[in-house]
Amino acid sequence: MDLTSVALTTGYGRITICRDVSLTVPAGRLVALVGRNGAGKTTLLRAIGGELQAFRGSIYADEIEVTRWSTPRRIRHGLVHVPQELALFPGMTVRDNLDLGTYLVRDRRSVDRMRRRVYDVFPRLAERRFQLAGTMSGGEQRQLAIGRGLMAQPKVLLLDEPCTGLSPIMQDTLFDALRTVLADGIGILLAEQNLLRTAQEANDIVIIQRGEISAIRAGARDDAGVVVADAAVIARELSQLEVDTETEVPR
Amino acid sequence: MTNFLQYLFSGLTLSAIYALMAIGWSLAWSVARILNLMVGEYFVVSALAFAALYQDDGWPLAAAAAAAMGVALAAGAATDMVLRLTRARDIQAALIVTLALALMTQEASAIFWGRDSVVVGSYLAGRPFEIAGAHLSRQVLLVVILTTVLLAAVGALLRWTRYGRAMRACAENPVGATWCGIRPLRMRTVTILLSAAAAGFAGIAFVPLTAVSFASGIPIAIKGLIAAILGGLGSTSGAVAGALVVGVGEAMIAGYLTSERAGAVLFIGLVLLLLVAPNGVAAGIARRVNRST
Repeated sequence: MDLTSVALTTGYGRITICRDVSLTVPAGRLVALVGRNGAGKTTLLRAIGGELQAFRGSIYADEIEVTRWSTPRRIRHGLVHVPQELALFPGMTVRDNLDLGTYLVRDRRSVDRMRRRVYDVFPRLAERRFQLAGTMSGGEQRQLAIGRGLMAQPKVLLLDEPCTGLSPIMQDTLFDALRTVLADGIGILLAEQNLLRTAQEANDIVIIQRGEISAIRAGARDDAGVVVADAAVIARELSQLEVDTETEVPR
Repeated sequence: MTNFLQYLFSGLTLSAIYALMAIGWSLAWSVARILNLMVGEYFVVSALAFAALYQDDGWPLAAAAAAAMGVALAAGAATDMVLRLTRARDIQAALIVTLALALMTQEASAIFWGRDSVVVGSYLAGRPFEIAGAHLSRQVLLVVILTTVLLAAVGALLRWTRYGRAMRACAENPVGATWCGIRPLRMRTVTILLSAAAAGFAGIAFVPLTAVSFASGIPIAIKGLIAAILGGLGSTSGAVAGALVVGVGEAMIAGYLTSERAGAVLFIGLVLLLLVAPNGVAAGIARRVNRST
């Protein structure tokens, strides 16, 4: 499924945060949103996930317009948001948390298969399946949050800064896992602050400044997930793009 | 010994009613963070409807019980609808709305079924069992067993079913639940209907054992609330334990100390207890257990 937003404008109450955002997340590709704190990355993901209403513009899943759909309906359609704040259920077991991700999955037989798949991707979760989610480390909880997102059988996964608080080794593990997800044809829209990491992993990089797209660049990986460019060079370019506009005189 | 056993049996009967109330309080609190004063009214309307149909109109037991259950569930559905229409999402708003509904239900019950207390003849014939000189009626035994089964079923539902898991998720983290596609308001509906079913069952089961009138709802609901608070509001097993303490305690106080002031003694005991363990006794014990492990 390709996710497309067309001139999407959204925000909180009367305050507009994101303006005229048009982007596409094709199936099986990793599109990264980069930008400073407060640039509007989280707001955009919330609007696409359905927790925030679009003020103007539209969101499409393939050719179907989902702009006015409720969050549960979007989830059922394959649009699954894994928020940045840990949205887990700390007093419930890892397994219960995962199964809650399948709340809307109609085909109950596929749940066991999906759980095995998530345990393959994150073996740590399999080891701890009967442990309470709240007793795990931050990195394990991130894995659980993403695992729960996968349990919903997404076609597009919206990930809000999944690397926050993870050690570089844990980040490697996470992206190894995400590449297997991409290989299944699931598109990923990822909000991230770490430019080098983003440059290294993404197919496309969308730079957001003050709620608007200021540039789109290619990442270091091609469609097959092979590194074809020097991530450090891309990261340097990204940081310059950011610095340039941040020092601009506000309109 | 005989007296003690006799008080214990009547205490168990009370405990069973309070447990069925307490579970309604506890679920509504944990899943939706509201207090639903209607739980007592579900009990009353079900008891009065059952009495009228079974005793006065001569309906068969099963049909009268099913109809009474329907009345209780309808009252639950009405509660949910009014809570939705008034957009009462926080505890104060919900308390006011459900208090108003409870008072309206009381008056409606008085108009519909009269102002007199009703008692239905025991629908289980047979001599009571005699244990060490104390009498245990078949009716009491039956309803205590049925209540235990029902409470276990609620526990199983919460633990193992999709809806139960979703309800627990709402209790832990309502925002996180929406990210799983759960609608917290729908879970609130399920919760209210579940509490109406539990209280409705209590009405049918206990109207042969205690006199019920249009005004019985709030006092009985409050006893259930005490039980729920004792058990650490929000914990279902705690609610059952709390109900045992309140029910047996009330019967013992009435038996050994004073039957007129049993309620007052109970309330004073509650205040003292909350001074010692403000989060409920069960929560206090749980904390101690967690600390030691």
